[in-house]
Amino acid sequence: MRFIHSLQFKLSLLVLVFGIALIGLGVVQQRQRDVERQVEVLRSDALGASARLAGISQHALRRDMPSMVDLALSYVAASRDLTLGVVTDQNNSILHVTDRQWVGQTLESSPLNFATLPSRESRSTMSSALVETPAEILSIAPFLMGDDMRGRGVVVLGYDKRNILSKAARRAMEDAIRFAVFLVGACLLLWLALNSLVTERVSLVLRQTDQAAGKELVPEPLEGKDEFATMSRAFFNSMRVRQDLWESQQPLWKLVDGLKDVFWSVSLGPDRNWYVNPAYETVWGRSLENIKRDRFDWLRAISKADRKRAIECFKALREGRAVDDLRLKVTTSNGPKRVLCRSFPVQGAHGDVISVAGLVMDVTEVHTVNRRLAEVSEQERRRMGWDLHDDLCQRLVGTLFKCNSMVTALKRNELTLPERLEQIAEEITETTQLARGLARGLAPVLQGGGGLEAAVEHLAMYLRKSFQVRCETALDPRLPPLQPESATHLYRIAQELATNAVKHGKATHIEILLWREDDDLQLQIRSNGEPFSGLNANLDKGAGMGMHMVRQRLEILGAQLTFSSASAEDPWNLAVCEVPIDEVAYDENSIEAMSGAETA
Amino acid sequence: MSTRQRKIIVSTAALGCFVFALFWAGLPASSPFVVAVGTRMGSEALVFALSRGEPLPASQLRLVEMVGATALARALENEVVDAAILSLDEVLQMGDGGQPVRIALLLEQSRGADVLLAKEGITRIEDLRGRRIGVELRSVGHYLLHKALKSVEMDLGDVQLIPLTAREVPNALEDQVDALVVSEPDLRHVNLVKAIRLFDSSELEQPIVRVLAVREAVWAQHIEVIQKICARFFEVQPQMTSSDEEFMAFIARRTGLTPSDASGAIRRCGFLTREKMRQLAVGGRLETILASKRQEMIQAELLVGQREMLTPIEIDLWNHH
Repeated sequence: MRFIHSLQFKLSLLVLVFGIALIGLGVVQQRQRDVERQVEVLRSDALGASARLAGISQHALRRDMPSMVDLALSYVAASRDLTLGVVTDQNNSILHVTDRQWVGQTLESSPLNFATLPSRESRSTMSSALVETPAEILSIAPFLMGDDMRGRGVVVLGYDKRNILSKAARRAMEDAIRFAVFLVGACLLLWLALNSLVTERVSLVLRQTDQAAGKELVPEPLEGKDEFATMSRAFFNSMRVRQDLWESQQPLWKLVDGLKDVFWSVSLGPDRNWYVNPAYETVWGRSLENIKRDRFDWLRAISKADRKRAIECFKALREGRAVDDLRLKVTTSNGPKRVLCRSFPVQGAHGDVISVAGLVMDVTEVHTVNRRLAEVSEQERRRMGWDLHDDLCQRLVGTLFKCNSMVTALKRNELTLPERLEQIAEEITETTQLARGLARGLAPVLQGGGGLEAAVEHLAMYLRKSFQVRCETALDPRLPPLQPESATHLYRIAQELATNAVKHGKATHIEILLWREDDDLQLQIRSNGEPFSGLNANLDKGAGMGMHMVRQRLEILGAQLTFSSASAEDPWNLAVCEVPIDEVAYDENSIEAMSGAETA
Repeated sequence: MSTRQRKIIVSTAALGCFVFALFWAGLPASSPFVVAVGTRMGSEALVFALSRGEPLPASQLRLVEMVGATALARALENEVVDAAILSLDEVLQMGDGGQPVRIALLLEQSRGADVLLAKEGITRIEDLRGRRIGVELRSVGHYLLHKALKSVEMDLGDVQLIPLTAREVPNALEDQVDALVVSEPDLRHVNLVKAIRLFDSSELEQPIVRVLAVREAVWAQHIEVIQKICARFFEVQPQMTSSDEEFMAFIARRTGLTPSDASGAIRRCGFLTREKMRQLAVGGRLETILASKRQEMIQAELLVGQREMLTPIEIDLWNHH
């Protein structure tokens, strides 16, 4: 704000202008009064001096003492306003005068010639007279003269009023200057006062507004009892309420801002306020700045096939109808994504829908995992189907043929019957082992088959046989009875880690250990190959599916899996799985625990 | 500029305004230069000079005609007027009384214009012992009487001083006093038929010089007018020294003297030319006169003598034109 627009300047200027006007008016009036007073004093002095001089003249001339009149005139002449003073006889001949060059002249020839007529009147009436013009005052006083006192002389004193006028004007100008300068000083003080009382306090209030707008701490209100303090306190209270509300909402907003899922909200009121949390950029793959420019920027990321459903869902929300979860395909710069949208209308105090909000969850990984699980399951079924078809079924068919052959041989009473029966027994044994292997692949940990220890030992045999690596196991004999599902999960975890270490980590020596430590079970896989932490899960390459399943199993067991790399002190790369016993073991007093113990 | 600096500047400006408003002396008053002129020939010479040519406007110069030397001195002492025609001894009295003055012009050097007259029968100054002497006290006449008495080893205590002026009582010698101190032109009004001239200013070692004395306090304010007055005086110098007819007629009209009486009065008054003024001033003669007079007046108790003599003589004015 420019200084000349400020209230401080305008008020000070207004006071100055008004004051100058008042001073001018006052000075003019004072000057007028001063002139009138001074002229009145001059009139009085003139009348007094002329009367006094007339008396002296009458007395001195009667006693033939003209020098006394001269002396008296000389004292009258000391007056700075006197222009000329004369004492004339009855013929207007100047006898005595303040300027001796007029001695002997007539009044008519002197500068006081306009006193001729009034002096005649004064002589006739023997009364003093005062003649006034704009510039002069004439005081006329008659006196008696002559031996017989019949003569009538007059004293005429002329005074110049211009001196009075100039003095009055000068005094008026001095007063005007003095008062004006005083007023300027007062206006400067007023400017200072306004600066302190108004401008600075207004600035403080404005600063409070800016601070509050910037969501900084609401500053303390102004002290005092004036309007600004009252306004500041009212503003403070209002901002404090807003601040408290804002602070109370902060945990919620922090929670919302920290969500991995997108939270959005749109007001349906005239303000059209909207909000979307930062997760939008991660999930939707588009910038928040874009959506600030174009509120429907998010719609363009949705695939065309799904766009219509999204729009219809939004319309339903605006009408206050509940909608089902919506699965959409979104195109991002990192590739397509699958999102799950869960939205709901927000009703106001009167039941009308004031805004709509919702969550958008990135379910791409879940979708992919589910797809991979389905694929893997299908592959496994196919493999098992092939195994059953190509191996077990073929063997059973072969055995069937041999049995039919034996029937034929028996009918023929051939002597090779024992040899054929032995062959059939061998084939049935191999077929049984094959079936058992297939069963173990489906259920590696069997209650009646040695449990987890046997499964782990079998795993070690498989690794040794299949990959030509050294593999040892060590299971704590104090292990409590484990729930079959939990034991299976532990086995699968060990299987995946050990297999990855050999297949991908190039290990040549593997150790699988399991022991009880306090309230946890410690499953440890030791490898002399590459560190376990470098073997990342990658769903796209299939090998990551195993680790994904490991994570699933860990979550089910409530277990923690940590990796540590080989070092100078410990040459083993370790994968350590800590499992709370409570999650995996039977309650020791439960029937299952007892039956499991008996079985073991 | 910071807010604090601005506040300090504004506060200082406001304070300055208040101080100005309270203590400002006001606009300079343009009052005229008021000069008291008496009835002596020096005064008449100055009045004659100022009456020639374009008169100075009343806003610049006012002449106040007064009767009696003491009236002029009192008017100057009481600051009723700004300047007056005084004699050097009267100038010393002004300074002694605490009203310092500056000498702007040397107007006349009395050559017998100031006289001690005695009535018939008194032929010597010694005969005045115990007699009544009419004299204007604290005037040049007072000084002249002192010098006259001192010349015969008498002093003022040896006579009776009667304060009066010849102008007031032109017949005082007949029945009121035994002797009378009188100056031109009043001398011409005194009945001289039987009067005896006992002493006059021509017999003085330190002459009586009449000057235009200006109050020290107003000197600077009216310096331009003073310069004009001096210029006018020097312009008419030739007329005064040559007893020009116009000048004589002016004197006669104003003093009421006949032309011959006026001529005689003028002869006894030595109007000083510019060169003569310079001679008196530059040569230090005027300071000598002043110092000598001061000592004499102190001894005669005409001066108290407590203050230093402060009577600067403005020689530069005489070099101006």
